[in-house]
Amino acid sequence: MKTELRGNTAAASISIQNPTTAAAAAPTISGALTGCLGSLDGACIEKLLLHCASALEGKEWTLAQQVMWVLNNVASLSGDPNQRLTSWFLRALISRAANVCPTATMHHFDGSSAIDRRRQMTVTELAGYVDLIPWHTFGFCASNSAIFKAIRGCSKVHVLDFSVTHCVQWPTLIDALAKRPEGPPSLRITVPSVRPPVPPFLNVSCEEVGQRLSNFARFRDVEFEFNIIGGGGGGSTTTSFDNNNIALCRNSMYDTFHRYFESLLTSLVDPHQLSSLFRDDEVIVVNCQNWLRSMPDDDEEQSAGSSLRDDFLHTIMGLNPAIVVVVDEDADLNVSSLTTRITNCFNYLWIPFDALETFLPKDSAQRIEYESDVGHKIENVISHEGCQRMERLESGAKLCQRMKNVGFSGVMFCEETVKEVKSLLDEHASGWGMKRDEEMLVLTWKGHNSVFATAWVPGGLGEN
Amino acid sequence: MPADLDNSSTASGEVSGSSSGGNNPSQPLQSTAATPKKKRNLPGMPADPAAEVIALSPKTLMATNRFVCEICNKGFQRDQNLQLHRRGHNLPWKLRQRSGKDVKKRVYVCPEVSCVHHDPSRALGDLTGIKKHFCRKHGEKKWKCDKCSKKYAVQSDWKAHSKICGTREYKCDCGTLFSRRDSFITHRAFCDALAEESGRAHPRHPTPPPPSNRSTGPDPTAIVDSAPPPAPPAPPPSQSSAPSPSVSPIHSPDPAPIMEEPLAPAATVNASCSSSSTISSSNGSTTSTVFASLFASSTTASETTPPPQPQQETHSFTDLIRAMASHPDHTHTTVELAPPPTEPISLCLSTSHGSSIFGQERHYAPQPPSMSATALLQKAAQMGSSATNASLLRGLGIVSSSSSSSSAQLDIWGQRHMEADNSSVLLGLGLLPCDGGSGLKELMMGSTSSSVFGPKHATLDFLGLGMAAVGAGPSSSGLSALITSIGGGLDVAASFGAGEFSGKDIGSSS
Repeated sequence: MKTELRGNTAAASISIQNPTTAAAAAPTISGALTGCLGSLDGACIEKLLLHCASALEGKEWTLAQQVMWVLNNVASLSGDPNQRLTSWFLRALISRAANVCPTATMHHFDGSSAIDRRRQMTVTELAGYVDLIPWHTFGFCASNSAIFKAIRGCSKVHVLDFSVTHCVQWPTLIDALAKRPEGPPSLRITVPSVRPPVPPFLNVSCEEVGQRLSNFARFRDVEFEFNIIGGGGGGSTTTSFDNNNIALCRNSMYDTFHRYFESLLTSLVDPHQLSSLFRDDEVIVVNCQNWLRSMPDDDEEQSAGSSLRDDFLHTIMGLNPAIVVVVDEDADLNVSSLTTRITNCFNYLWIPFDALETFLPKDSAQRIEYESDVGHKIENVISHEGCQRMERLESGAKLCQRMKNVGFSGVMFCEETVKEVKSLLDEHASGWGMKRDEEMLVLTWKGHNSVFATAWVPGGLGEN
Repeated sequence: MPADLDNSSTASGEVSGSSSGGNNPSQPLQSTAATPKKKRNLPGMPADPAAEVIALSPKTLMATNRFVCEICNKGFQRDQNLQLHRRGHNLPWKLRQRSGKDVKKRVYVCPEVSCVHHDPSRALGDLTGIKKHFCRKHGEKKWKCDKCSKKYAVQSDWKAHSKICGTREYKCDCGTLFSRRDSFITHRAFCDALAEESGRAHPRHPTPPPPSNRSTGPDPTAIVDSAPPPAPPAPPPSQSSAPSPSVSPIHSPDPAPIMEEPLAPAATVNASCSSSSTISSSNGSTTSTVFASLFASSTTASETTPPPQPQQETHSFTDLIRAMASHPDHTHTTVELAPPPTEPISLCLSTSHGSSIFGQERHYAPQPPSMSATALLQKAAQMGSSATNASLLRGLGIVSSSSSSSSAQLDIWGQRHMEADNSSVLLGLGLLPCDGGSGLKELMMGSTSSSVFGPKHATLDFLGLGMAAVGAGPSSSGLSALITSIGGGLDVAASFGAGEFSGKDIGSSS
């Protein structure tokens, strides 16, 4: 054993050996290889991650490096869920350590945009992607059902869609509206031309997506119109980050996104603009899916009294919508303490990993893709600060409080909705469940909260 | 089996009424050796931190009918049901009321040590849940679906599946099958097949055809078949949206083919059994190779063809590291799944390999890591003092080197002051002679400052300890504390310093 090791040691001149360390190579690790796995459980890994993070923060490089080394040996992209999760966390920590923060002049990609340059999906693949686990479809189902109920009897409906999933939510609503006893309303869906640079990425433009939706609506005999609130020039210039433009570095992507959004908000409060965006006789529905988390809400803004996130909500309320549905993930990832973020992240994002493990094999490309999207999120949460940290998720409870502070009232989901969601979940793996928590409907995996869905109306009009 | 509504945070009646109440003397609660009942207060723990963690034995979990009627020997899963049954025998019966004062939340962990739910922070909130989980995950799959090949360990799962297996099928014009209507609708709306139809008069979308041959099992499988890797089952029309790996040079090809690619060249690397050849052959090429070789030095003699999994994980790690280093001529697109051609395999456990942090290759792939965290930490401690020279972090340009005066501290959180170019990376990894001058000049530093590694580090071993002093310095105490907290009963202190392993984990190996 020893001989073998030494032999390999000599042969594997990975490195210019420091002669003194060759002697230290003596103790063999072969025996160590047969150690027990038992102690490498989630708590252990979490501890290691936290130690690494605090070592990095405390500039204890040696310790950080040692812990990273240990984690490196635990991590495995193709192992069990804990190992897979660990490897993404480690990656995020290394990224943080390296603080590879591109300036506008750098062409190479940093650790983060490496993940950004993911494969872009086709629309069909995206449809399959959201179908894999009910992570997204739960929200779609609950939202569409609440929307459907809220627009009963309306003949003109205008949906403002703020989401990251490129409108895959709407076919089922269109289908349901087509079958309405009183006939479908005429439907308009409006999307912003800019979305946060987060996965899933699509390989076609916004217009193309709208075109397909229109085709489908026509196929179902639903009067339909698709609009893009363009960054300039209406629907023709879609500054979508998806089709990119790899040279665009991350900094400016975020800046662009925020700037666009601020200007969007401005136009939404400008009465002149409003009249061109909205029509008098239509009922407005606002859909926020995985969206609010990208609205800036960092500490400075909070202390300043109001953040872009709150401004957005105020603006939305000012449109007097019939219903506002908010769906997002139920975790608090917008805390300033790094160690808390790591802990919260780790104790939350194991869920999709565990769920995927249930029914996809270890080497499944889909699973890996999904997991790397989660890895993208982990990296953003852990290794970025300031305006680059786009993922500022707040838990359902906090969001509910925020909505109430802004002046919304919660709308309870009706039994029919609950039934629909339940039957959706029935068709997935049996670990998925659902529970009600006041006005929230929460998707659970093995009892742990994953995604929440809520519905709101402005002012005191709710059924609460 | 549909998941229960409200199955998460409330203890079910069953719990307080029967299981742990001690009214089943034949099967008392048994704690597994590793997890005695204890309270756990982890920050961010999803469940109630004051919840009592209960560890039941496998036998208890698998037992179905623990409450047996003494008259007719009929078994029941719950005491309540047994009591109700006893009424039928005109026996005295008593239903336990759920006492309001004792609504302590209970969570259950899985006895299977390697299971993710063995960890109290991943505990499941109700007894039925943990029983079902244990049965499903660790139990034998005795129930098999007639129509398809799926097997289930829990009868109710099997029943639920049989109900829907092959019952409803929706078929898109493109040929993809769906058993769920909403997935069918969503797919159909965006499907290319529909796009072709638009403009033509057509009837309503087809009603579900009679059950045909079910393609495979559940939806995800069907979707997987039509999903990214090489081509969807339907011939994609030649539209701009058709998936095509070669569409844009910017975007990487699909993951699956990518993973095959490096096998050949990597095998070469393997066969050479030496990463020196890797280095020498690629010295002028990419940092990535260097990094890669760092992560996977040599192969053991037994290693021949690398399995795909370690391939893939190494790729992403290597790519990660490569991505860290600035690489102006990098034409890479996605990182994780598109490794460079000369990728060696698999992550390694370090042998005490001198300046290389990541040493021998270990056959990683299908097995979980075979070392305890404690052993790993100990090994980290074993690595020689030159590890300070071979600092990965330094290689990333994060920290200055110990002895050179021309290096300087980076402010990592602020503006990026330096570009980690190839040389600095190589230096940091101990791949270049560390002579303070040449390599370090490459580092563009913001300002000179006192080195992070003060003199104290220069003379200490990897742990940051003096050879004799245990626990000196913050880093060392940090690691020793870490080892202690993780290692539990091992005699940790003995393994410090002179490079001896405590014998426990390093037995005679296989």
